[in-house]
Amino acid sequence: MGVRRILRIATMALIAAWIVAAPAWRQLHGARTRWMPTWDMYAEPGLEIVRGRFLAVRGDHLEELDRYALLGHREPRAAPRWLRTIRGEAGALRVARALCERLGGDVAIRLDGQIATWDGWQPLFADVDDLCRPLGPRPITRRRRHE
Amino acid sequence: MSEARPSLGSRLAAATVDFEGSTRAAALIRIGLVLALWGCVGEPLSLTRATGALEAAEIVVFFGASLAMLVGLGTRGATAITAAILVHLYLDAHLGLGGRARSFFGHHHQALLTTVTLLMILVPAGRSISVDRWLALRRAEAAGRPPPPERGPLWGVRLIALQLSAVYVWSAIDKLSPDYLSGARLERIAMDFYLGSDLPESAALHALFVAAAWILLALELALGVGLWWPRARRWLVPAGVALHALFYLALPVCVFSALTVLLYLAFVEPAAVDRALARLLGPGERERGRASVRGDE
Repeated sequence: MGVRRILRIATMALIAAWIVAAPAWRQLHGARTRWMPTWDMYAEPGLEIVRGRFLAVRGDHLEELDRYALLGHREPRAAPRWLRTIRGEAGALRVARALCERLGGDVAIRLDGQIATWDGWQPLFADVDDLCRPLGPRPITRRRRHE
Repeated sequence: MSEARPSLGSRLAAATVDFEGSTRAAALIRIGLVLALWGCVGEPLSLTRATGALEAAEIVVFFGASLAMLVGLGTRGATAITAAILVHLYLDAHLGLGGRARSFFGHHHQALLTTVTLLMILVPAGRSISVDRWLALRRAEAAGRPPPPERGPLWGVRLIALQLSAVYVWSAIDKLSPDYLSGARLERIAMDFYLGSDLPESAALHALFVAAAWILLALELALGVGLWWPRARRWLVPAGVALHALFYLALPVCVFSALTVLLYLAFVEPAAVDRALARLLGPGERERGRASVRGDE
């Protein structure tokens, strides 16, 4: 076997090993290096997006709120992006606070909703009775892979 | 008397390091790759974005080298220069080498373009459909020699095929998570691009997302493994093309879909590509085409 052929075999084996195994470094082991490639296309879009409904609480009475109508947007498509696509705790709180201001002080606002995380849909603010009041420090659900 | 069957080692070598064949399919990959590259970096890598003389020079050299790669002039050298600049841009974007922030070069399609261009250095893609080929024919004619064959070692093409397999398989592995398997990932992607936070609460719609997630996972695994088998390829190539057409319609995938479909050529036996080209060219061209590949034109 000639030197040239041995070199070709070694080169091919090394490149093939890199192609096959390198993504494991980040995708399986969670390494943060940028030297290794990943093939995890479209894994991130929509993370932290919030879905659900805002509820007004008056005594024992729960009422589902139309956030678009209440905030003066008849056509949801024409509403601002922060109102259409709610992202993260901060985004949900922003919408809740806008609703609080609109409805006045004698109403509590709750969110019956979920947030998109790497582990799937997780409840958001399920333990909060009134989003109009200031919130204390809270544990944040895991959002990204390997967090 | 029957011939002795070759050993596994020699069959493996013949299919990998010793793999040879017509270079026409590789030439088609070369041409498509440059067009995909230009589609990807044409606007962000224009001189209007250059912040200094060095960057401007790099951009000019990139387009010069990639043009030479496209037409097949000094093909291997042109490919190496193009690949070197892509690697520099990629490292620049990922590691901040040189201090420039080229965030446009940090995406998966750009990583795939860079990797495939690097692997093309190993492929004699200039031996067909190229200025190099035209010049070689002129030299042979002038010297009264037969034209050089349109054949060469294609182990680099095998690596390109392996790269595409790895993309599919690792993409499928990435989907083995609760978020994906429950349909939640496709739901949040649909919400991000289309629906906003108002995903209709419907069991049927949720079931549709779950079914789509599992079908996509199965198809990616099948493509990653099955494209190596000619029988499976017959069904998987149309399915893959349809899948990437759907991605192209539904998501901002830039050139990723087109590039992936182009790279299916790396799986096809070179002789089959030759036969398809000959069929397209007509009966008179078929024998000339075969002779050209053999080198007895």
